[in-house]
Amino acid sequence: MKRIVFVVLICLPVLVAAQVKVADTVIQLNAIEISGTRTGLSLAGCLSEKVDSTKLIRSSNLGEALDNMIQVQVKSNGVSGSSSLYLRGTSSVHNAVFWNGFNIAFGSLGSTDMSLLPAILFDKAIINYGGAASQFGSGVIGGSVNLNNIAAYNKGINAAFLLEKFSFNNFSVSGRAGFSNKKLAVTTAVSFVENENNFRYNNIYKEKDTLTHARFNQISVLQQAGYKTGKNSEIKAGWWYYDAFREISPTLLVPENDQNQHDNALRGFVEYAFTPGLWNLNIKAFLNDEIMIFTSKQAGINTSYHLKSSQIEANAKRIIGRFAIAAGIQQRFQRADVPVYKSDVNESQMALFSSFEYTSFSSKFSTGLYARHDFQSDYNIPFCPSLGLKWMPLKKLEIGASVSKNFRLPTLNDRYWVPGGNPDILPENSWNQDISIKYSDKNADSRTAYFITLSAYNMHINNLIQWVPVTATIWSPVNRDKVWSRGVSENSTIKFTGSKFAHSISTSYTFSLSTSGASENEHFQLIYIPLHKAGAEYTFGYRKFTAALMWHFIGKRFTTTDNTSFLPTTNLADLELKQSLQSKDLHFDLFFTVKNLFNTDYQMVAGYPESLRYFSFKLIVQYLNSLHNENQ
Amino acid sequence: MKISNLILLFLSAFILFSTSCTKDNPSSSGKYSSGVFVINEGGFGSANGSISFLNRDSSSVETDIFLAANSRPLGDVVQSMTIIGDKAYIAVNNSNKVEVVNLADFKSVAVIQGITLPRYIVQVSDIKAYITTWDTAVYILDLGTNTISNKIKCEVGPDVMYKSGKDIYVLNSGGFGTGNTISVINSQEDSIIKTIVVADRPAGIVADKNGLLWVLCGGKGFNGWPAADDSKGALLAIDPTDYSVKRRIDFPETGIHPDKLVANKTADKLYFLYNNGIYSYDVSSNGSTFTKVRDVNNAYGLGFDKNTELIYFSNPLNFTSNGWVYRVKENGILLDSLQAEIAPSGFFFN
Repeated sequence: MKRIVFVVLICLPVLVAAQVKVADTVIQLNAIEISGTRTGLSLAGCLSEKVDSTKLIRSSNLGEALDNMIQVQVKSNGVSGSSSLYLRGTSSVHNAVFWNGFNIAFGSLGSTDMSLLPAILFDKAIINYGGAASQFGSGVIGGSVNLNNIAAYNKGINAAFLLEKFSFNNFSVSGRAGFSNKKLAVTTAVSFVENENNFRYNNIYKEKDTLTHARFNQISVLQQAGYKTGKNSEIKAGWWYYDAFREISPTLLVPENDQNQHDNALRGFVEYAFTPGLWNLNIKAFLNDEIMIFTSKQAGINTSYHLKSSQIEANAKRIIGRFAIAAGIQQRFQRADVPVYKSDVNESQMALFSSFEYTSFSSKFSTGLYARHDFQSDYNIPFCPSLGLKWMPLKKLEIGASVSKNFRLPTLNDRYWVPGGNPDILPENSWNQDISIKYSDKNADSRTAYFITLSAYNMHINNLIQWVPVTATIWSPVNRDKVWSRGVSENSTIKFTGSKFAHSISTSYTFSLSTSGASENEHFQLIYIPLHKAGAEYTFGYRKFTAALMWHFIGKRFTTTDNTSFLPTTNLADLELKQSLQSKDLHFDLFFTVKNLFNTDYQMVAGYPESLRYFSFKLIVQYLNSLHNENQ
Repeated sequence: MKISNLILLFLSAFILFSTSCTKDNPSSSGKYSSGVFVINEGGFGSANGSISFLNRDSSSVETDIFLAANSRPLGDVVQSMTIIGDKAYIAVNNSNKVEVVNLADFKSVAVIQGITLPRYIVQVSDIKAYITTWDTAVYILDLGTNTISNKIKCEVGPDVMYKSGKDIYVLNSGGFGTGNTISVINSQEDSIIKTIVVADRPAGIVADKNGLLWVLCGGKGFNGWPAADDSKGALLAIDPTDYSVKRRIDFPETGIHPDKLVANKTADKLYFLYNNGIYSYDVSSNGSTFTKVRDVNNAYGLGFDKNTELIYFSNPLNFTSNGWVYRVKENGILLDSLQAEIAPSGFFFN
């Protein structure tokens, strides 16, 4: 017992690499995740994509890595503005980001600001595509990003250090250190970011200019610990703090801007897992305290949000032969102290969830039936079932399919904003269908390996919530259009490994048709969702030297709902050089990256400048044992 | 020839040429010499404000004429346009600038930067103009150099203006808050000589056929969203000879707020937006009765074209797609509708 208390109290701050904000719209995402049950968030038959650890290290941030992955887009409102995740042609409110299994969406906005996510060395980040309300509730329609950090035991000491500097005044330093023995695993990570974002860009007169008022500073600290209380039991705890200040960058047509935003959050959780025999019992609690303040002296704006939420969850799983049956209950409380709402908001929500899974003896076939029902006094939330199956007719071939019902509750702003909030607004709901095919192979001498993933999705979102002008000066959310989102994607890699040389080629392509309209005859593509998105990467390796050339293609994106205005297609290229060194227990990776290699003048959001060609220098130092850990 | 005859000939020639010069309007030549300019605000922060040009004869609409002429976008939130001589002055609110273009071809001749949230521009003399800003000041613009020469400190949110002789009436709307005064500026001395208390949120001012200045005040609050501290709108008549309020008509409800004010060609009827409709008021009446001209939905801009005696109003739809402009006869009958651009909010009739 004393040991348990000791573990909880000692919770060394896990330093979370503060996100390093790059000059383009890519958001760096560092993940420190505390492992636990229901954190995999992957349902049978659903397509999942693990963010490769080498790609994470190579990319300036996770957002950059995510943006090259199938069906993912990260969009920023300017280099120092908030950043949103778009999966499968849906909007940011239709996707969720989980930390240790807890949805960390900002309650007033219904989405997670990717620019604030901790940015340090990932143990694991997984993208799960498709709906998952049957297990995880509101807001998981397009998919989710699951941030996890594995509390690995008996690995000894591990440490990593990351230093990055851009050719303009952007600088970040982050570090992580951990220790684990047979019973105890502790990790601490800290990150500090100071980005001036004073990059060069072309102004509207096509003259070179330097961006001002786009500073972004952040400090993040995350600490987590796990302790094995017994042979089959474990307790974990962690907390995460960040404080960020940003100057909202001006646009091409608004050269001066005095808008600022301050974000601050403290989160913590504790979890107890007990696995006696064929049972898996888990109980966990989560606390979240967030503040956001937006100011503009010129506009006379000083808007503050203070949100507090707590969640407690218990679930039990029993394995019976080839079957696994699980059930759980979740209770969530939320309080909002937001002056513009004119009154404090207190809400509570309960959910019951269950699953029934079967895996064949040969593991070639598995299926899962999931269900969840959320209860909240203001709404009649639909019952959400899903069915998924996975089949491996060949050892190298995997076919997955799923169908699910999903929903999304209105945000606090939708309901309480004054003027305009609509307390009668209804939740959105959707039906999703997904199918995927994965194939992987290697030749006899294992020198050549192939991976290819094909997927298709189809979803209908009903009661879409849209803010519309109900009078000339008042906007209000209404349940209006339907959205029909469908698409196909491809992602493939070929690797050749020789005695001295190595090559790999990766390609990806996504076609996303996401349309909506006030009537059946209207089919407008959602704004900022490109019809076509593609990428390719060639990597050459010689001994400990690696060179990679990356190409990104983003198709035309409409910027108005009637599709009369658009941003043109964008082609970008990056070049990365890496030299690795080994010295006893230390491993060094030195990166030199040329971003926007061909000095392309482009916009990701209409009116917001993007950096012309710039350079990045990065040093990663890892303690050897940590390499061993990451390769597990 | 006798000297007297030469003098007479010279004087005749002088009179002839000076008369012809004053008849000639420098702005009467060029592509945009006659027509209707539609001010499209664009979405806030979306950098898609623009100006459309409507040819009265063909009813054709030319879109984004600034971009077409200058190969660059106009800016963020286009607020208003004023023609002074052969130039057009365009207040681009959120871009904190005033663009100056040749009216003939809309090519840019100057950009006046560093003006915080400009709203409206009025020429006050041959050499200067006033620019209202929500920087709580009226900026003095030197028309010769197109530079700001000075500022006149005002109350909060100086907005629409009206020139009456050497007096400039500045409506202090309150900006992002609520104002309830009019500052009268002596344009020769560039100083405020009188402050007139009206009602909350003065929004429009026109002169009637009798020389009275009518001011429409919207009242505090938002249409359809009543709050405890809302106030009623009002229509007031000011005598410019002594700056006194001669008449005041209060609107009946606090939750419904009037907006925009224009006068017809003979200045005996006022038109404004109110309660999902266009309403009129006969200035000759002594009553307080407003007459509905026509039901309108989501009307945002209002104008009156004295050339054709048509009422113009606009519907911005959802502020993220092209809006519409409607032309209505004074009896309320719809003539036609024309597609504009993002968030059409105002008109300038040339």
